[in-house]
Amino acid sequence: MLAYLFRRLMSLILSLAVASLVIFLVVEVAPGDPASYMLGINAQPDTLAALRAELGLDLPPVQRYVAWVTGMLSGDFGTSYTYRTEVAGMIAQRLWVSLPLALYALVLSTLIAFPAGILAAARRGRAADVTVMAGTQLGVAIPNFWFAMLLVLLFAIKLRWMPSGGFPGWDDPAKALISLTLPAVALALPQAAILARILRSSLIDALGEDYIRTARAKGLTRWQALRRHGLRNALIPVLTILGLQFSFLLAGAIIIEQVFYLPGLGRLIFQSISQRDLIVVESVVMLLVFAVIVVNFLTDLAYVAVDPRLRR
Amino acid sequence: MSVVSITDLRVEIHGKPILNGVSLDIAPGEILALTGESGSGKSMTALAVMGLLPHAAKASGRIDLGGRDLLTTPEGDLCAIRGRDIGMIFQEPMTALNPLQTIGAQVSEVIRLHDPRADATKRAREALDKVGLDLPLSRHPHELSGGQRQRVVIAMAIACRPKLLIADEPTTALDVTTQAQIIELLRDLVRSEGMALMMITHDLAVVADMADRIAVMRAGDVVESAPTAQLFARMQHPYTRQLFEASRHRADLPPYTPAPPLLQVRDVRRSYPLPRAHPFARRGQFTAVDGVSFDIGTGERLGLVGESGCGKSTLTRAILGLDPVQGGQITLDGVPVTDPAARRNMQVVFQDPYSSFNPRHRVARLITEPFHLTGAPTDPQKAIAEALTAVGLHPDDQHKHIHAFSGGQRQRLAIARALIIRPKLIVFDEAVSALDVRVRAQILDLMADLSRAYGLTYLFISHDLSVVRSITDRVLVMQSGKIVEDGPTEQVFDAPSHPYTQRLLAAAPHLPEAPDAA
Amino acid sequence: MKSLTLGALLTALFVIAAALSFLWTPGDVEAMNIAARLKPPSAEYLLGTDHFGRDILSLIMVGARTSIAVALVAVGIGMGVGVPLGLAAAATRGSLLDETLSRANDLIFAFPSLVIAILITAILGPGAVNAILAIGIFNIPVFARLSRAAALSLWKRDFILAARTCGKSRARISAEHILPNIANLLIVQGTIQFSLGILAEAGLSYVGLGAQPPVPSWGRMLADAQTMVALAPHVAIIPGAAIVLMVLGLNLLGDGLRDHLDPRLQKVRA
Repeated sequence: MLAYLFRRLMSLILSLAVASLVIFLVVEVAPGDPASYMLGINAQPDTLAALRAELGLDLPPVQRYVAWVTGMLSGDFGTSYTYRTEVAGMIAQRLWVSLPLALYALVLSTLIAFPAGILAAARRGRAADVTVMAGTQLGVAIPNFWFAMLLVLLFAIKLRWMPSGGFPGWDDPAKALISLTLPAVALALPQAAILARILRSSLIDALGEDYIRTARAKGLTRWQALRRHGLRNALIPVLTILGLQFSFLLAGAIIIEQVFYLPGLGRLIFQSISQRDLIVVESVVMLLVFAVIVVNFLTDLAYVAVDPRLRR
Repeated sequence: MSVVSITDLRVEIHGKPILNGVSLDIAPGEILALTGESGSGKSMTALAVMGLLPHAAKASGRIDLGGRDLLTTPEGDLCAIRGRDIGMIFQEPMTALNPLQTIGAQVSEVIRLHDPRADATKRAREALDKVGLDLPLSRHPHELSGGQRQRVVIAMAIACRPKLLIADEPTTALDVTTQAQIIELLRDLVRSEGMALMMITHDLAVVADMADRIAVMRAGDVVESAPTAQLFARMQHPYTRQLFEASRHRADLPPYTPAPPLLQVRDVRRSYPLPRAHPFARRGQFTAVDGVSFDIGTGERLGLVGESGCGKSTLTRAILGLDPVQGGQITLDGVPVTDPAARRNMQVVFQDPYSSFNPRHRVARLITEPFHLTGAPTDPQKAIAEALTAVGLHPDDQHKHIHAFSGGQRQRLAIARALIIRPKLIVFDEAVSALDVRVRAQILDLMADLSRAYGLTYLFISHDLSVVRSITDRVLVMQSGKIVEDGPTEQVFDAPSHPYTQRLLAAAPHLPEAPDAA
Repeated sequence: MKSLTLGALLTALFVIAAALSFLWTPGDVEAMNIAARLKPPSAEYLLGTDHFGRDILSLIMVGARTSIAVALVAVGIGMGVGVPLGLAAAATRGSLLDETLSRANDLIFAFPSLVIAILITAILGPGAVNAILAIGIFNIPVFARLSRAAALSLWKRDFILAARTCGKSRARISAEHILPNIANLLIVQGTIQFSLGILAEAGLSYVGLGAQPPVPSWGRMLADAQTMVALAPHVAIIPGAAIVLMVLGLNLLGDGLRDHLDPRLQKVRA
């Protein structure tokens, strides 16, 4: 088990190192100079040079990369070119919207997908299965931002049950949750459809295994065999998808945040890109990649918890 | 009074008859062997008794267990009967257990299910002790060998002291020495617990000295059923006789006159790196083949036997030049086997007739693939026709796809593919192990005929001692990467010198002597 | 069979509409007619008009062109680069090439695809070509992984060993034996990636990073419609429904193909 964890940990560190390098290089080759963007086209060459020096843009790339990475390791993400504030602070503020939204959507998606997927697998080929599969077929085909628009049309404009957008802050948690509900549903439903389909097929695979036949020969009913022996075995591929989904929800919220005017990471990244605020872009992308890689690592840990064969 | 009484059992799937009126009785303490070739319906009979037929199957007739007709018993009641009154053992011990649960949890589950007040853990321990497995309950299946896993499956099946035990090919996936132990265990359990045992097997020899009665099935019918001794003595049905003859078939090999060596294997060593125990451990090495040397003379038919994991597959791959060796040398006619010049003189026939051919190509293309080594002949049509005829197929078969052929025909095609470039050496890698006995006998005869016609030299690798005996001049016995015995086939079988060979031969099931011609 | 037919019909409908739009559309997609803006569906305008008074049916037809072109080329990039890489990795299992490719694949999977697509189009400038590039790059590891895994299981089969004993090179075996036997899988995955590409293109053009005006695209139509949802719901509903139907059609086609192609393989194996 130690060897397995060690290998996973090494690959986590390696992935982070390579990812940071790639992100840095991509941003490096990006056309456009932040300094001239900030000062406008009429800037004097010496003011430009001064600003470049202040931002550290005159240093060689290697030095800037090292400074960026060591800064991030100590929690210093640098200073935004446009807002002249700490990037770390800006990100933290936005995370308070994006992270709860992603978690909210993940919980919703799991709550919908598990009963649906299990029901479909248990009643394979019957009416319940056909219905669930038709629903998921539709679910995976719907673009989440369009679904979001339909939700706004129905619940905010026609029925007036929910706000159509904006975020009031966490001072009133109930209000905050309500304003995150439509975005979370819009994000969760297509994800739930994917998860339900994978859970179903992985359960059906597990149900075809010899040990299910053994369980039935012991006198377990179909349902008992599925619950006690099929489900945990089917969980292994589902865990992978759950891990991927969390990162997708964190990053995929970008477009949904546009629909609902939510002040999350997504809007931050759009603003920064249009303002050539590269240090913010770099940091947000790195943070998202970091989240994905860490979640993947946690998924690997979850495998160990589920599967004793990895515990050697 | 029978434990179970099957009367006129008929099963059909999608209108296709699978069983056509099977009737069987098993008394307490009795072992009934159900035998026949694949597709005879023996496993379907067992599943019908368990009430676990596939959904599409329709069953009629009567299966009486303790005065109750299982075919009309509702599913809920069947669940209470399964595991408590009927226990079942399956063929594949490697996959029959849930990999994520401890063996203790899996054995105690059946006890808890049928007897909620019992001390399930204690009884699970007792059941495992009874099957001779003194491992902790906390072990997971992946930590156990195949034989040990099969013991766990048996422990689950007998944990509630069922009246009827059904064993579906329980030893087919096991090595011969493990098979002998499991058979002995089953026999002892039946005697001591007074259970009835329905033992399903394709191998007559396995049940010859175990079963009280034998029922022979063919295509959904029981063609003959009699007490064991009587069945072997009389063999009233011609099909029984055919099975018996085929099981102990000896091919008629032309004599071998010693000739200079063709293949030379010298001090071959092949090892694999083991996974590290912990991140900073040194990588261990597993030596699969450990200093093996032997020769095959031109025209000689050499056998190589050993149990799974003995290194024979690794050695085979090395001889075929597929894998490099870490030490020693293998030459064919003095040329290293990794050299294309040597490959041109060597062909192989694999075990699984179903994975040996690219499903997308036609026969003509499939069997001419070896011409890649030699260049196409001037008249490929003649070569194809000749090769197909030599293996007992028709030249017109070359236009068909591979799925049009049965398992036995596919092995003939595999031999045709090997023969087509007239190689000096053919390697038969478990080439008849996947075949039913009668087909196997035909293929063995074909090999003998081809030996006569073409003067074949071959290496015949098998785990099955009786087959090796019938088709080789000399035999090598391999254990833990080493050749422990090397001698003329008859001599090794009649008077084995190494203790391992003696153990193997003692464990191998034997058929009784043939009765006088009926 | 049913989902195959339905999927094929839906897909064909959009492909034909897109092809037809080169020759003829019911209305002019470039002419604005403010007098007829935001008209609901009627006999004159089958699917209504948008905020510039353009015929929505015509816009959908021309937009299908953009969607299909972007997604198709992106799948082409993914297959063209990913499949050879996957086959090479499988053929040289455990080699440095295989290890490097697997690591690189894992790494690309670790990047949130949408964010990177946005980054790429933001850096290279918005437009259809850059959208293709951004989507295509993420198709590469999908096909590389799939073909590597499928090829690895084939490399263990006896007919591959037989080909090796016939002295065939690994490259030749990959082309002659492996590729034809994984073609079905690739076709099925291709339709799935195609449908994902349509969704991704819609997302990118919704946020203004896809095809640029005046080239019509479904995502852009939705973005324009967002502020008019309350006034004229049809301008938001119709382009979205077009995306759903197209994606649904492709997914059904993929499922249908898998069911249709698989049993034959099963029969061959059994």
